Amino acid sequence: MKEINFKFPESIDDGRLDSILSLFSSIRSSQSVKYALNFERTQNISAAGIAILMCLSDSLREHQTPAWPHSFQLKNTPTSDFLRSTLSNSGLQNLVPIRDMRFFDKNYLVQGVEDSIAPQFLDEVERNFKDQVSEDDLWYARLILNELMQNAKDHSTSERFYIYFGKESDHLQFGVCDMGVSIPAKIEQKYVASDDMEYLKKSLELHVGTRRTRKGGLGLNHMFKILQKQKGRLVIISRDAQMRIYFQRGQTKADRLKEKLYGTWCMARLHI
Amino acid sequence: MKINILEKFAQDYTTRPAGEKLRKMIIKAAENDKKIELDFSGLKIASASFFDESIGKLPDEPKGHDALKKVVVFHIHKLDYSLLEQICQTRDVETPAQGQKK
Repeated sequence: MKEINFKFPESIDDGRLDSILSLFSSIRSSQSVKYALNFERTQNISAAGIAILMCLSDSLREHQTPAWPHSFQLKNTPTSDFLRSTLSNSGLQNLVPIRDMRFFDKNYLVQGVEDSIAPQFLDEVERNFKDQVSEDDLWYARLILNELMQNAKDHSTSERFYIYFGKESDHLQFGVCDMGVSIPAKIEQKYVASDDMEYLKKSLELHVGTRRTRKGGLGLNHMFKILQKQKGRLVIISRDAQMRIYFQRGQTKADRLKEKLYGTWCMARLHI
Repeated sequence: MKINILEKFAQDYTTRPAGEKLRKMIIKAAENDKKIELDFSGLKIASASFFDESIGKLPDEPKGHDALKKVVVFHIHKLDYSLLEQICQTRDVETPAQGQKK
C-alpha cells in the first residue's frame, strides 16, 4: 500500500482551501493508499477548520482509506486530542459515530449531525455565547444556520453534515459542511446552465428548487434580504465552483475551483 | 382560537414540513373562528422556511386569503417579525398584525 504524506497549511480556516481540497481529490481518486496527515506547520485551526477536518474524516470513511495524524504543534491541546482521535480511526474499525463527533470549548462548537436537523445545536450556541455576543447577532447566526441545515438535509441527501459556530476577535464564523450531492449536481437535474458557477447562482433564485411536491426553492433568497444591513459574507463551495455573497453590498462573486469538492461547504462570517 | 407554537411545535419550529403543518392548522381553525392567535412566547424562530411555508403560502390554499386576514401574532421576537414582513412583501401578501409587543 502506497503512503502519502500530506502537510497541512499553517492555518486551517474557511479560506485558502486549495491544498486541502487537493487532499479530498486525492482520497477520492486513489486506491490502496494510506495517508500520513502531517500537522507540523499548523498553528491555528478555527471552528470552520475543525468542521472541514470532520468532513475529511467522513471522506476517509467513505473511501475506506486508512490515515493517521501526527506532529501536532497546536497550542490548543484539546483540539489536537480531538483531531487525533477523530482522524486516527478513519478507514479502520471501531469508528466514532457521526453524532458523537463533537468539539465544544469556550469559543468553538462543532458537531456532526446524522439523519436530522439539529435545533439543539442552536440552543447550545445561544447558551454558550449569550454573554459574549449580542442577541441580534445570535439571531442572524440562527437564521443562517437554520436555512443551511435544511438545505443540507433536503438537497444534499448526504444523511449527515457538520455544523460549526466559532467566535473570533472581530467576527463570528459559522456554517454547515456536507459531503453529499453537490448543489450543481442537484440543480442540473431540473435546470440547464453553462457551468457550476451558473448553477450556484441559479440556486439562489427565488422558487428554484428540485422538489416537486413541496416547492419552495433553496430558501436562501428571503434570508439574504434580511441580512442586507449586516456586515459579513457567505461562501458556498460546491463541486467545481465557489460563490461569495456579501450581505451588505448584495454582491455575488463566483469563481471556478482548482480542485472539485464532491459535497457542499457553506461558511458564513458576521463582523462583530 | 389560540395556537401556542412552542406547545404545538416543540420538536420542530423551523422546517418547511413544520410550517406546512401550521398552515393546515390555520386553514382548519379559520373555518370556525373569527380570530386566530399565533403565540410565539419563549421562541426565536429565525427560519425563513417556516414562515414562508406557514404564512407566506396561506393565500395558495382555498380560502387562504380569508384565513390570513384572521391571523394575529403575539409575543413574536422583533427580528422574527421583520423576517415575516420580508416574506409577506416578497409574496405580495399582507403581514399579520401584532397583537402585543414582547
